[in-house]
Amino acid sequence: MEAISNNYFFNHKLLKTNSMKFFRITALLFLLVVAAMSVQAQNLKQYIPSDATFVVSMDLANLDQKISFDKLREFDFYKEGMKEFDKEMSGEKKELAEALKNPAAYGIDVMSETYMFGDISKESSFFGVAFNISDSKKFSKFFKNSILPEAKGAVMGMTGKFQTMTEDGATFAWNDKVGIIVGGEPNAGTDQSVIDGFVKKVLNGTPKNSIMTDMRFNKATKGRKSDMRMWMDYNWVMEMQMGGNEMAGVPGMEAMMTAMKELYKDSDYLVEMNFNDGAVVMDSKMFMNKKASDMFAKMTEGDLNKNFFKYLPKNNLMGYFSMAMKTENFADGMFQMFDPMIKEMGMTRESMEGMALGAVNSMGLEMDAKGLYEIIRGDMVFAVTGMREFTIKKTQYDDDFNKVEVEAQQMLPEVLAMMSYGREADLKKIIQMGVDAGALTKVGNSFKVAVPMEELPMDMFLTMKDGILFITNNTELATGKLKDGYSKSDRMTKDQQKLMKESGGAFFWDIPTSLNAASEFAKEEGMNDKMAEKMLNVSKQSFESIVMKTDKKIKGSYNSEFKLNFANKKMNSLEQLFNYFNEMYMTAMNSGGM
Amino acid sequence: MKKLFQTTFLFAILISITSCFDVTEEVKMNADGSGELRLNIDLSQSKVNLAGYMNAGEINGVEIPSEAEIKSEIKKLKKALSKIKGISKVKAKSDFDEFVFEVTADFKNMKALNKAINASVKTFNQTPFPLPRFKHFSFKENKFSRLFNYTEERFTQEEFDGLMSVVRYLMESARVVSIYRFEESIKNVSNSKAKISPSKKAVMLEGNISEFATGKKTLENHISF
Repeated sequence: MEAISNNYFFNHKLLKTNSMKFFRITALLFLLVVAAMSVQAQNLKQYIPSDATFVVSMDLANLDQKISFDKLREFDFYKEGMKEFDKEMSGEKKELAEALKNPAAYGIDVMSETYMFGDISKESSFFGVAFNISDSKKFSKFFKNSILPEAKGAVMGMTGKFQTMTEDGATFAWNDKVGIIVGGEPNAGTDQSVIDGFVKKVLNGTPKNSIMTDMRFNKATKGRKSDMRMWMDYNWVMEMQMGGNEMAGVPGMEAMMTAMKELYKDSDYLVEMNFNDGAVVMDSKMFMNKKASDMFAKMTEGDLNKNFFKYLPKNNLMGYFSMAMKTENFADGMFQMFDPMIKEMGMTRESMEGMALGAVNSMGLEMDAKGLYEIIRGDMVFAVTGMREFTIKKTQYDDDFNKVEVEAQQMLPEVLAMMSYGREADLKKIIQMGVDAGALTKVGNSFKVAVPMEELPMDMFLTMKDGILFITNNTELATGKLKDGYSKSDRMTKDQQKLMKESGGAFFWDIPTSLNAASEFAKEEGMNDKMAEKMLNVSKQSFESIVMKTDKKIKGSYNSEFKLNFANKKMNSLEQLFNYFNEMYMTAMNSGGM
Repeated sequence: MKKLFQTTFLFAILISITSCFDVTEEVKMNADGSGELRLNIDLSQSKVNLAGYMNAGEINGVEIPSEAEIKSEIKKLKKALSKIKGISKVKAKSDFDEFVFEVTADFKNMKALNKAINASVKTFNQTPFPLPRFKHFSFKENKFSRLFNYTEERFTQEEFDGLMSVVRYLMESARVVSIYRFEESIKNVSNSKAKISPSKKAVMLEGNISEFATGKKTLENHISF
């Protein structure tokens, strides 16, 4: 989304035009107004066209309860930012500068509903902002004194119930209650009159001809309350991505692109952000058509091997990534998705599987198609389970100052990858092939991976036990000392286990533990950057963890959640985030800048 | 402006290296004032990255010289050194597996040694600015001196703190080592950070680039016998 909005909207020529002072002012106003948006707007939503490709809203009244604007003004980075803002606006009218800093004083209702929306296609790009006016007299006075005089050459008029002022493709419209900024640019080959058509459509909006009648939008957003929200028509995302595809000439690619568009037809994407006490939570939902939904549901079906938890410790666990998936189901979904491309290349799934089987059988493995998907079942965990002392080679000087190579101890991350396997005999044969090729060396019941010491200053081991394939540099695990894993009291917490068991995919990062390790490593290496050390300390004290998860079951939508957890569970996360930014800003300033 | 350009160039080089590297300056002095010079740059800790960058040809828009180009520069250096009166047996070694580069040469006297150092710096100067010539060493009457008069080229602490954190990190992790060996026993050294070998025939001084660049440490050392 970010890449798309960068390409098509925020870098839009219209917003970058320097020659038109009116539009630059309006754009600044629009940007500030974006910061004052809210859900709930029945009367404003009527001005959002039914075919809008994205709608953004923000509940500033809600956010103001979490951290008041007065408190925000006290932060050093905010004060510094305002100084810079004043410098930028020094050439403009004082009233305009004040309006951008404090729109409420000029009749703009910042605490109620405001929406930003857009309609972007190959033919044209349109955008709009709709906001409430709290005091029409103040607003009119501000408009007459500050906006109008700057707008030389603008055309005044009336459209629907709005007074309008139009200049260079952008229209500013207002009445007693509502203000709207709307504009756009036709792409090459499209007539300028399309902008006028869009403007009329917006200003003549009613509940019956607006996004309020869009079933998919209503289904996605109905009854939902969030601090910030973005909804987009995923058809549009796919159209834009496919439109600029340089691979279009590649055999099978066109069929593939057509199939992808069909797959994501009538799909919507909703992202919501909430600043809760102790955590920032970002939820995303992909609403898909039945075909896509069924396909993804099948692809993500799977369970995590419960024996994985025996080998994941509670203490010093820095982070992990897990996936509960079945290789065969995933392959089914991928073949279904790529079927048009495969067919256009003159192949089939069976022929491709046949080729793979042929290669595998020629290596001496007796296997059928099902066997291909059973060797590695699909569920896996990758974890950084702590720091461990490793012996590394270092160059030092002897008594006579001649260079010599010595062995030294260094703390490095301890890593563990676990995958469930199904065909033990076949897997053993593959591993034996690795031994015969010199890539693996047998060490007891494990195998040491033959990687040059200099490139990897630790031994990596591969071992198999109870249906789990381990790849790790934990020598205790590899050499069998941890044959039943950690004791129950030393295993990862029940909450962590639940997160992994109940999610299709899960990611966890323990921030303070990781930053401590990074800090120790830096000290060992003789690094002495005071500013970096201060920033590390502030981060360690502020944050607890990052957790991401995707749903295991897809019912109606494919959901995922990102959570940034703070150390302080009682304070609101928005306030903690601003405190953190301010600390980092002050540290950078006091250290002479980054 | 010159410092800005040199900093930018230094950054462009340093950004290609994500780990420590060592620069070693070794001088073996004979009693008659002649001796052997060895300059060594060891980038082996960054060899994996460097190999990748050289294959790519550029990093962050900065062109990285190819193996052939580096060999050509080393050949140029060898040629420049060989032309100096008082310099002989010039040898250059380059290992593109470990990324270790070394130049050795015999010198007849201090004048030749100083010219050799200046010629080396001139050969590798990629900036459009001419670098001043310095007197780096002197040797007379039982006293060997390593001079360190590069005051204009130094960074103030403020200038150093103003560099990007990744550049500061690289300058702090890159080492400079100087080793001087003598036939006579050392009686005294002026630099308190210098180490004398138990045999009293060698002196070593080391530090990271940032320490020398900001003046926290100096290579200046007066060694008496």
